[in-house]
Amino acid sequence: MNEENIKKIVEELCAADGALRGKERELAALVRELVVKPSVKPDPDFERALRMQLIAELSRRKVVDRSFGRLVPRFGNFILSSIAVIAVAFAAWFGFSVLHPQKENNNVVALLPAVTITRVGDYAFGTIAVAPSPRTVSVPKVENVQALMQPMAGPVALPTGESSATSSEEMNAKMQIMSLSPTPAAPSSASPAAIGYVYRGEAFSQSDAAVDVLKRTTSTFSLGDVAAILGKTGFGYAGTSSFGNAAITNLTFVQDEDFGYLVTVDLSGGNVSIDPAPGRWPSVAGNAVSKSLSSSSALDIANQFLKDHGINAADYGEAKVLGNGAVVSVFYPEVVNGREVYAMDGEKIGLTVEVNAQYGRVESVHGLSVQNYEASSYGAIVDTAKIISLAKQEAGSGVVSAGTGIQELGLGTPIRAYVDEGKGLLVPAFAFSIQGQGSAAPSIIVPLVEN
Amino acid sequence: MQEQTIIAQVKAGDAEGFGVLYDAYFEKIYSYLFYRIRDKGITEDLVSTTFFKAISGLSGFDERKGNFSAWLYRIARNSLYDHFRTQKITSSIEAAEAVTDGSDVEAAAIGREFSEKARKLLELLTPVQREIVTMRVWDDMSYKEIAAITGRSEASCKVGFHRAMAKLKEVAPLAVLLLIFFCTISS
Repeated sequence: MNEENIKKIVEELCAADGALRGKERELAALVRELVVKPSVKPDPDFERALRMQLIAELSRRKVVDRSFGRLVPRFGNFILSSIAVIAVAFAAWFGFSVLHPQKENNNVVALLPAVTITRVGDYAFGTIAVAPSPRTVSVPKVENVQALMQPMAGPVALPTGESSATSSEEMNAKMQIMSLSPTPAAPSSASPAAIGYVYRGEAFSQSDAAVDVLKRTTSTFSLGDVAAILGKTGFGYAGTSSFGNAAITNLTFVQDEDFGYLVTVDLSGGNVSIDPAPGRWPSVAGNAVSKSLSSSSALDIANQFLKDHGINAADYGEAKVLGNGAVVSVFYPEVVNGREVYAMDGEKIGLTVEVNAQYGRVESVHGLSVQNYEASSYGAIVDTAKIISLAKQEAGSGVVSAGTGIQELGLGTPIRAYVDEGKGLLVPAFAFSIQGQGSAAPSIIVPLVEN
Repeated sequence: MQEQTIIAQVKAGDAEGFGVLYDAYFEKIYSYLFYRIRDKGITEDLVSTTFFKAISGLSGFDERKGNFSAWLYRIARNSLYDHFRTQKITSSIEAAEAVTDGSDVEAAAIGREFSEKARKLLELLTPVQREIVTMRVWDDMSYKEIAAITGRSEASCKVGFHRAMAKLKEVAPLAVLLLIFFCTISS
């Protein structure tokens, strides 16, 4: 509060009570004393995250409202009323679940990818077992082979920006780089019996003694609960209780109109998929595909679709357009805590939007998953030499698809990522690129949980 | 764009429009809560609660019955009081003491920064007076705004503030005189 405002307050006081005239300085001093307040510095990350969550929540409500609004005219009153009851319960269930993301809530589920993370106790998810997947390595083009085979000239230039962090792990990493300098291997005309991997990236460190493993939180409707709700409607649905402990694990909505969609909500898996409504899209097979889509057009159509349906593309990584045929796929890599998510086979996981080139419409959306997690702390591998060793081991578990005499491939500097172990657990990991394979090639994944 | 227009758009389904309202009010609501809680974690929790309650209740918000600002502050205020109730804390002063006596280093540092004199002066007031005074001098609110948030009349707020200041002037003359003395010699 500035002096002008203080003066204004004093004036107001004097105007209210004439007896205070002449004591303005005392009053001003008093106000000045009261004005001293704690300094406020909101965390910009918190501000940003909350903003995203709020907008995602509003968008989600809009989608739910719109979806149910479109469904309403399609059904008779009898069925419709029942569906509306379920819809309300469904919407309420989803709605409440994303409130207060920082508070403990064991049933946190959200339809849209506003990431919320609830902390639980350490080692809460039991033993983490991330099984390696069979790998097929595409051998680089012949013209790149010589470059790959070149030994590094002299010592590796270590990043100076991290020089202050002379942790033992970093030193280990540096030593590892030195010891891994590849020895020139003469190309052989015979098919390689085994492929060797050499770390050719920059020094990196991993000093976090513990990392947070994330678990997707999902839930299911109890059929009994739904039956109870339906029973109250007087439509005679109470008989569903005869199915005992059955739970509703999937909900399906059909937009029954031309170019309508079939929306499937997998409640137990926390996934939503959108497909063409059966019989509502003209058969592509019966019509020659006469149109093609440019990558930018496909991207625009996909982005607009996501926007129209309250899905924030900004929550994902940079979109990539794949293919150029009758159906063009736009892939949005999943990003959690700023890190991309990989499957154990090194492929990125994310949202795929398929655009029908003939009709210039989005045909399907897959990979839209619940982004609510519980976080549990686990001990982490801090020895970078071990991480590199595990990367080589993991890479070596693959199969070389073609033999060109290559005996060594380089592993690039790893980036921090998550690996989806397949049961809803996201495990912090390092993703190593394989040099010469291109940016779209699968990476080598090393989970960081000490196990 | 007029706030009313934005609210109408948000109510019609423009989720991004809420971002504009959020940007306009985040810091104000954060400050309002932080001044009274002085704990970063709890403040963030209450700010989240406030805005989530706001988007839940926005469809029922009637701008003819009050402005958005007052409505939002009322939600924040209710969230604050809910917190006090669950923590069995009766006032923000008590909350501040609880924080500054604790082991939270950050909160303790903030507590030191916060004027001990101001805290003691505020302790001399009734809860109602304290609320009016803090809204007036900490949050820079007009009597009209204070009235809209607290549900009192504007006149009642003015009188409340006046009585609070008169009381402080009476019971703390020495502190005020000393302050004037220091202000005079330092200027």
